[in-house]
Amino acid sequence: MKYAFFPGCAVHASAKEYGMSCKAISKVLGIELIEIPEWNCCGSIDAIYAHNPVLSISLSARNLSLAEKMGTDVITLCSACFFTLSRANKLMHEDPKLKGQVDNVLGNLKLNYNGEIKVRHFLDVLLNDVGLEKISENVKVPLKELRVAPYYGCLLVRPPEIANFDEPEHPTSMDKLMEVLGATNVNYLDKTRCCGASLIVTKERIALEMTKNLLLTAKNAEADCIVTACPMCHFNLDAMQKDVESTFDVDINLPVLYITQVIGIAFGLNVKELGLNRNCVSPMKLLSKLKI
Amino acid sequence: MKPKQFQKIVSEVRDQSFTEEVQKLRGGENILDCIQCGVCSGSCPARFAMDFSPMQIIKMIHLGMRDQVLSSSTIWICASCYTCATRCPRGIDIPMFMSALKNIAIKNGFASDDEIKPKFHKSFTEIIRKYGRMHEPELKMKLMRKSDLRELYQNAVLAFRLWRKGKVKLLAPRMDQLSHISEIFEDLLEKQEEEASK
Amino acid sequence: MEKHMNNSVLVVGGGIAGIQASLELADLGHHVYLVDEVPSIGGILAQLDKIFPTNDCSICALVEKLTRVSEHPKIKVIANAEIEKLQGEAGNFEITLLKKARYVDEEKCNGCGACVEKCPIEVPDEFNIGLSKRKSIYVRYPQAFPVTYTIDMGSCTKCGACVEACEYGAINLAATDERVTLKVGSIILALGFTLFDPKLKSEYGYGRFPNVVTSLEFERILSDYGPYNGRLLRPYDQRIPRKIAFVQCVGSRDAQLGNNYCSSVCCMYAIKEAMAAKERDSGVQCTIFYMDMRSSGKDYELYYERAEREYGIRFIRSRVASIDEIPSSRNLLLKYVVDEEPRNEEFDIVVLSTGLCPPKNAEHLAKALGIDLNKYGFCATKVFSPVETSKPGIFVCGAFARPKDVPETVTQASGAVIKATRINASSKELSPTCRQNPPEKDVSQEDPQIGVFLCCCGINISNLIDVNELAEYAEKLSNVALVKDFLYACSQHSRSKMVEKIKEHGLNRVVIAGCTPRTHEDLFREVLREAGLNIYLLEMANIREQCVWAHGEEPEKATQKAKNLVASAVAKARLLKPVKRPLVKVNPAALIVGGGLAGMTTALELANQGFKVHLVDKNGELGGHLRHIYYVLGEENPQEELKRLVDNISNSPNIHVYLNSEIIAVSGHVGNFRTLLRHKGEVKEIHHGVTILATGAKEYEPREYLYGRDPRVLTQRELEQKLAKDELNAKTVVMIQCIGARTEERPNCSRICCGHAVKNALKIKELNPETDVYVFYKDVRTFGFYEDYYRKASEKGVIFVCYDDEHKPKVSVENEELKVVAWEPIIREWFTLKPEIIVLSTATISNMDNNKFAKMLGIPLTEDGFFLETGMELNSVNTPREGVFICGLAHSPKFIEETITQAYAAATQAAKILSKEFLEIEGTVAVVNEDLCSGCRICESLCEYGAIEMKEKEEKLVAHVVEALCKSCGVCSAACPTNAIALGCFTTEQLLAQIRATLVE
Repeated sequence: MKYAFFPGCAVHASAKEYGMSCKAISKVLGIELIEIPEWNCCGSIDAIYAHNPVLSISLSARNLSLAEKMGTDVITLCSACFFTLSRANKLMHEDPKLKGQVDNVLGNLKLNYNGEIKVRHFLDVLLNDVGLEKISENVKVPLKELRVAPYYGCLLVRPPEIANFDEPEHPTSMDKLMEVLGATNVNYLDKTRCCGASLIVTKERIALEMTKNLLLTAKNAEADCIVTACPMCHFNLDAMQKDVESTFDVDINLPVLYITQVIGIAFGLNVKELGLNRNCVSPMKLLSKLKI
Repeated sequence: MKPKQFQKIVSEVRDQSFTEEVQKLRGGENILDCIQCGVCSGSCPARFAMDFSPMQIIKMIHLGMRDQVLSSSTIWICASCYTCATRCPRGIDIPMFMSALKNIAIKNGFASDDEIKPKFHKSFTEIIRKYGRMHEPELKMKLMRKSDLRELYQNAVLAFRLWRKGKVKLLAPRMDQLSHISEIFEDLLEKQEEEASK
Repeated sequence: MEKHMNNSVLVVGGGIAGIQASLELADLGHHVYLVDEVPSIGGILAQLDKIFPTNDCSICALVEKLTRVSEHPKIKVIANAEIEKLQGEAGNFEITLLKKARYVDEEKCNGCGACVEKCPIEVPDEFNIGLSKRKSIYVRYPQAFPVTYTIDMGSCTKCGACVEACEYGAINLAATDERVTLKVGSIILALGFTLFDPKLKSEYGYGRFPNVVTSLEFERILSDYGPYNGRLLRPYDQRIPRKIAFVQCVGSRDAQLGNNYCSSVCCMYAIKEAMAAKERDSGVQCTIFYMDMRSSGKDYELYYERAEREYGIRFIRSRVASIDEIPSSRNLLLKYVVDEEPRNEEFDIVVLSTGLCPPKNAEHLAKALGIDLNKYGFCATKVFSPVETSKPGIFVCGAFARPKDVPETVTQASGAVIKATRINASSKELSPTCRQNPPEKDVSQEDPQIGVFLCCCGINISNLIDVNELAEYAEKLSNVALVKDFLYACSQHSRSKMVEKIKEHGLNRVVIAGCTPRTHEDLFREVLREAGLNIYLLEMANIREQCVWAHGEEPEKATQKAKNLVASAVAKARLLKPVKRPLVKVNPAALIVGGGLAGMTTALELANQGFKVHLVDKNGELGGHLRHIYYVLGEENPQEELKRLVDNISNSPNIHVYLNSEIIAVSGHVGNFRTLLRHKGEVKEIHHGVTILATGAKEYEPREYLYGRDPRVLTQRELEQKLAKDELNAKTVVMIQCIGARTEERPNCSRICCGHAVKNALKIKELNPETDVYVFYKDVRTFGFYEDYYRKASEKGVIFVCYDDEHKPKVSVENEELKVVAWEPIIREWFTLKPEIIVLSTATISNMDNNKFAKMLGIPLTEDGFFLETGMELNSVNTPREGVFICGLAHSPKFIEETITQAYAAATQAAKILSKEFLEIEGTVAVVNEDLCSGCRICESLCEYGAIEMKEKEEKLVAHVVEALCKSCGVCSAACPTNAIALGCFTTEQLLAQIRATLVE
């Protein structure tokens, strides 16, 4: 299993632990992720797109063209990159005029894009290429005691014409993975409710309120941790959790783990390798519950 | 906030060309299909913070209420989470046209001064142009209102917290083929300006 | 070689549409093959709890029709069969069917059910949508026809237990599919619909949350014969719900799913179900979430109002955004917006009002038959040919043509028949159908030998009433020779058993203790007929409605009352005498009042069948309203169609047209009416066998909104005229809906005005896209495929603004300019428009003439003055007066295609009478003992139906009963001072015996 890997800006900066843990479990599962050399910003959901859609799509297209050269589908870790690259891919398929404009831009760079590859999220690969069986075979530390709240958020599963490996209103891919690892999924309402990450820089208070609601629902469902597959969600839920607590005067203290970290824990990989020390809300108590 | 101008005679306020302009935008093609069922407003997780609900914005577009739409906070608060569009019985791509409306608002100077989002869009774009990738500390610096001491302090606390966890990468990202990025920007931004001057 | 035209008709689909079409065809003397792809006919109607709008028990109404199908010598039902191939053309079709193996011999199986007890395999029961289980060998529902069991080979293990259990040797596990070839002249498609799969709207959680159910599941939950025996419980924990939400438009009006059309029936069935839930348990709170409430049928608005006012059902205009399950309680959390306020509300059950989709096999069948489908996969039809498919000789009716409710379906089924039989007109032998029943046994010299048959009605009756005790009691009554109980007395199996028992025990009177004679008397009369008894030797005791339903909490008292009712029925049965049904000779001519679209259409159909038609209109020209209609929601040109109709009428030798004519009087009865009409100052007398009222309706003349005071305020009809001449010159046009409709004074909806407004708005935009059009509405009621035009109008930029009675648009004139101030409910602000033209969408109201005809013919009117159909038959054209039919706007406001359909149905009903030389009429009429009659004329003055005439006899004036008019009401016999009049089956002696028997104990 070999893929062109698009890490995205966050995985190179604030979400290093996501990349680390991804790499670690990929090694165990025999997934070969080859980082696209000289990749650039995915094109942004909104910031550049709102300014100049063709510019945003051209930025996406450059990445796609580089990946196409590598001859494999593109894998992303970030839901926002997943959406942005997929959107560009889809729009170029549907709109020949747009495709022409982008082709011109790429042509100037001596690049071209034939539209032959797909953009996929790493979660999709885990579930549909690797398979639950293979993952379960590698479980060394079943997460028997762990109650998790899988959190899907927005662009991982929506809109269905772009994110189509799971169900938009009732996704189950992470739940299935968690079950295989031996963990218990808590039943809570806000699995797919937006955390507000895209507003955290510009509308912090609004974003924090959205995050707070989400954290509290998971907490009230007696989850030991939230599991996510997106660095944007993770930043909001984990790094900003202190701000939520102070802004709304609530006590949450709920660890937020990347799906790759949770899988790594079950695989018996070490804490450093999975970057667990980098999570803002410390997962150490949770690890000790698992006797790690 | 109420659309004060709306109380005037609609034919005076109604800017048919605005409705048509939105129809031409990606996501705005089928905006007239809306039957005001309210699913978008009922689904929106950020509705509580908006001055107008998505359904109101659409009705206002129907009625050609250009100024009210472009100066609303709604277009800046939409988080592009796609809950509304996934459920819309008319298949209207609401986040997509909200994005497009931001674009028109920026171009026409509608965004109010205390609106940080246009600045965010601008700074974001500048950074990508500069490095090809995001450089979070620089973005944060650009957006900070240097006059607001409280904000400065809070940001410093956050930055420290993130830095301790290794989440702040002070060094700017580097790309060897940065020229590609410059070319893309030149191609498209210049083209845009040319079009604008026509 | 001369072409032989085949007289048989194939009806495809065994739901109510197919059943109705088959019965009408057979009554007209045609051979019918009724094919259904499932093992028993009955369709979805069999699964419903109650029928809208009569609120009658659905299965009861169905069983009556099933019985007629099963006993009609001209109908052959071929169940469990699919159409494979069609060859030939109209008049000579050859169809190949694949009859799938049911593994049970239809000839040998009598439906005893012994096999079911032995079958070890249980699977979810589709009939109850998986809320209960059935066996691998099964029958769809107890009253099913054919009653033959079927093995579902998907789950059968071939263990052989059923084979062993069957004492008739009916089961053959090695049976194979077979091919059958049929030759017919024409085909009627009545394929029905499939329900939308709500799993496709995953935000509603169907399939994940057990307490989210579809409307059909809810029908089963409500049904007395459903999984919970009529107790209102929710599926997850069988707990009694407190709050029920109905979510409308699930799978309808949803362009994202490709279903932009409106399913037309969900608003009303949701109201019906909510009312039924309240009737089951008055403590339950019902809420209906809707986008537009589309109660646009006849008197449907009254139904809607009653639901709100009398039943306290809550109506919320909002499309529900999402449904989540609360993990702890399994309650459901609905998110929605009202007046721009986001709300979360908890409910115990959510009912999804799932829309109607094309039948599953439609595409395949369309290909095999060579007919066109519309873009949604329903059968394509045209405005002026609403029952014709794209292929000559193949017709369509029911939901397959467009989603529609039961009365509309039955009407259209009836209507399709007249078209399907026209193909055969040249070869048809129209003769009264003759039943092959045994000769009637003379019982006049025998002592009463009474058989009492008790019905358990599933467990509906036996749950409350001690049937064994009742049986023991009945056995002791004198003259009772046999008592037997049945699980369902109405099932085919039970009825054959009864025939057997009557013969075996030499019974000569029968008492059925079960449900009401209103729905089931005809059914059990057939039992007697088959057993060789006069059908009037039957008496029914209604122990279901009058004991079980009335005294549900008191089993002992209910049982006691049942005993009394049975004793009373037996007492009467002892005195029952055979009655001969009178025969009436039929004059094969029709009188049609009204020369508009409806009248002309009926006239042409009947004339084509070879009957004489007298077409009367008070105007100087044929055409009625059609003369003012210049375009339609469709491709056709109505003025061309009008010309075609008028030409055809003037070319028809069978039609006599009387223009400028007024009806003075109608007398006589079915088969033999005499009408006096004034034509150019002359009075003419016409003799005819049937009367059809197609008197039309008129446009309400508004007093509202400056109409008549300002020439810039028009009605839609006036606007249409202007548009047809391209005379409209306006920058802004405002339309206001519901003028004179849905008001305090006239609460009903006029059905067509929304479509009319959309039609004219589209025309304005077509002529000048720059014109701004605003439509102020209460609900946009563009049901069915009209929704596409609503959408098209929106796309063209027509602005639709909702108003309610608290926020009506205000119209004034300021500086000679028109000014409209209106409330925008979404932006929540008043705003002002300065239109050049204001158009009022006015109500369609009844003609004053209707009163005159109602009195003349003794037929009822609705509160709005439209003619009221009987409703019992679910056919919208029949009146209580036999031989008098209604169609078109005289019945209620309707679209062109609906008027034509109904006109066809009226023609079918008329043809059923006109095609017979003699008519057999009801036998329980009043009888005069001329010796006792004093000629006082009291009865004559009291008879509502004009059924009593005074005659000179042996120099004495005596009352005489016109049997064809008598409705057996009994007023005459009750009032007669000399006891000279008695009612056939309700003699004083009989009634006194009943009263005495009831008072024992």
